[in-house]
This record gives sequence, C-alpha cells and structure tokens, in this order.
Amino acid sequence: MEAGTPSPNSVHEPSPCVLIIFRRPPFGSVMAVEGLRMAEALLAFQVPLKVVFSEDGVLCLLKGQGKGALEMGDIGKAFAGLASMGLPQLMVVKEDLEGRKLCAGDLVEAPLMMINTCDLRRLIGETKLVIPF
Amino acid sequence: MSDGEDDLLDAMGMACPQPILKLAEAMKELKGGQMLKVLADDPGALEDIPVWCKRTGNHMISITEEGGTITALIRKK
Amino acid sequence: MRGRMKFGIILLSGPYQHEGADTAYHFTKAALRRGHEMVGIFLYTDGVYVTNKNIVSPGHRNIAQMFDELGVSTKVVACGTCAKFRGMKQDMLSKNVKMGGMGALVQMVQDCDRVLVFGGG
Repeated sequence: MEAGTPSPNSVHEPSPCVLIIFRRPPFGSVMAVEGLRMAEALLAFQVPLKVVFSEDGVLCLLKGQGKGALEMGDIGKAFAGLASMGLPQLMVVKEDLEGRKLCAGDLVEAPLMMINTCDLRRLIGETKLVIPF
Repeated sequence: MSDGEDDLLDAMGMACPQPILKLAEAMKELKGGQMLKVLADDPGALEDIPVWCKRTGNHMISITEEGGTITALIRKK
Repeated sequence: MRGRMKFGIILLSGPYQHEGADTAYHFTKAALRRGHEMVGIFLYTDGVYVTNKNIVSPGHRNIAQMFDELGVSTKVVACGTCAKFRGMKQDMLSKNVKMGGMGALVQMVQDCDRVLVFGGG
C-alpha cells in the first residue's frame, strides 16, 4: 500500500502514517530534539505524520524556552514551525497539561488541538508506526 | 550556472535532514519544468534525494558523487 | 489474521547501557525464524553505537558483532547525522552496516507492515 493512501478500515487496519509521541521534557535528554528532527524529515519527505505531546512532553511547547546559558534554542518555537512544513496541528493531551497546572495560553502560538487519553489510544491503534520520544 | 539549472542549492556542510528540508523549500520557489541543482556533502543525501524525488513526484535527472561532493539535478514536476 | 509480515525496527539505545539493543536483536532473530521478513533496522541517536566495530567485550556477548551478523540478511542503517554527533566515522562501522539518512528510514516505513521502536531510555 502506498504511504499516504487511507486504509478503508482504519479501526482494524493500521493506517500508513506515522505518529510521533513526545513524552519527555525538552531538556535533560536529547529525545525531544531528535524527535523534532525526525518529524521535520518525515514532513519534508511528505510522509503522513501526526504529532502528540503527552506526559512531560507537553512542556516542549511552553513559551519562551531556550534562552541563556544552555544555548539550545527555543524548541517550542521550532515545534510551532512544523505548521509551515505542512503539519496541520500539534495535538496535546489535555489531562497531562492540566495535571501540570498549565493551559493552552502557556503554550507557543501554533495550531494546537487538545485531545484526551481516549483519543490518544485510538490514534495509537490506528497508526502503522508509533515512535515515542 | 553550468548544467542549465534554473537555481542552485548549496547544501554543503549541512547534515541530514537539512539538505532535504532546504531542497523542499527550494523546489517550492521553482515553476513546473524548471531545474534545480543541489550540491551536498552529507553522505545520506545520495539515497535521500532520489527517495525524496520519488515520493514527491519530481524528476531526478542525475545524481553523482565525486570527492565527497554529491551533485544532483532535479526537474520540478 | 496476517501470515508473513514485513517488520522494521528503529533502535534508540546504545549497547550495554539499556537492553533495547539486545531486545531488537532477539526480536529480529525470532521474526526471521518464524518466516517473517525484516525489512530494515534504523539506528538512531545512541543506537548508532551498536555498530562500532571497536567494541571489545571480554567474556560477554559482543553487540557490534550481533548487529553485523544481522546486517548480512537485513538492511542495517546507522543515521549519519547521529553518527557524526557521536564521533562515529564510516570506517568505524561494522562491515555489514551502512551510514544513511532519513531517506532510508522513509523507505523502510513505506515497505513495512509494522515498525517497532526499541530503546530510548
């Protein structure tokens, strides 16, 4: 099946798409940055991609990161830039955001979609390749 | 411009996936039928560029590697 | 139910620190024994370290040799950028492993029925 062709039975057959789940905070390990790099590459190759931020991964989208001694750049801004590469939205697990006393207003300006854990379970079940970072 | 290309992308010194990201951006600026020349020294580009062309429907005219420099000619669909 | 499946693997862990590399290796062997196809293994982030031919492991399994063995029948690709950032050059890689870019990953995703991710800490 050509990548990008929708599966007729999305509940029972994996859709030819990639779901990247960002579960870790932006600093402390390389995972968030490397996941971003993979997302950028997959979008450039026009692979159908969905991106979800869950658990501590929601912290990747906080505004105003990356300034100062770390010299690591503003990763939130970089994620927001995925929209210009064709990613329609960044999905955020609402329970995880609220559990960290955060709201959409704390996050970068980007097309965000709030989802719940049931939505995430469904997405995982429907996707051919789930890559957790 | 030595190979009849309409534009040149110099991706020398860039590491994957930057050459492909820049390639995708550069192709957006071309009209259909125009040709882009890409120079890259990231070894992954030798496989990445043809895969990108196949996936996006753009026409890979040629790709060569000499002394570590990869030269690709791509015609926009 | 599916019969023969085409699998791919992304490995995010280096050797000996976590056991993702071992799990990836044993999954591959088990899948091949059961008649499935292993389309490719993409070594990403610290995963590139598993293919360092300079690994010496007295009295223990040699993970580089394990992945070199897989490379005979399966396409094992180490991410070139991840290798660069870790000081791994082409001539340090095991014989049956190649450096590659995201194009190799994309091709694998396209050709597989399922892709599994191992490691990541």
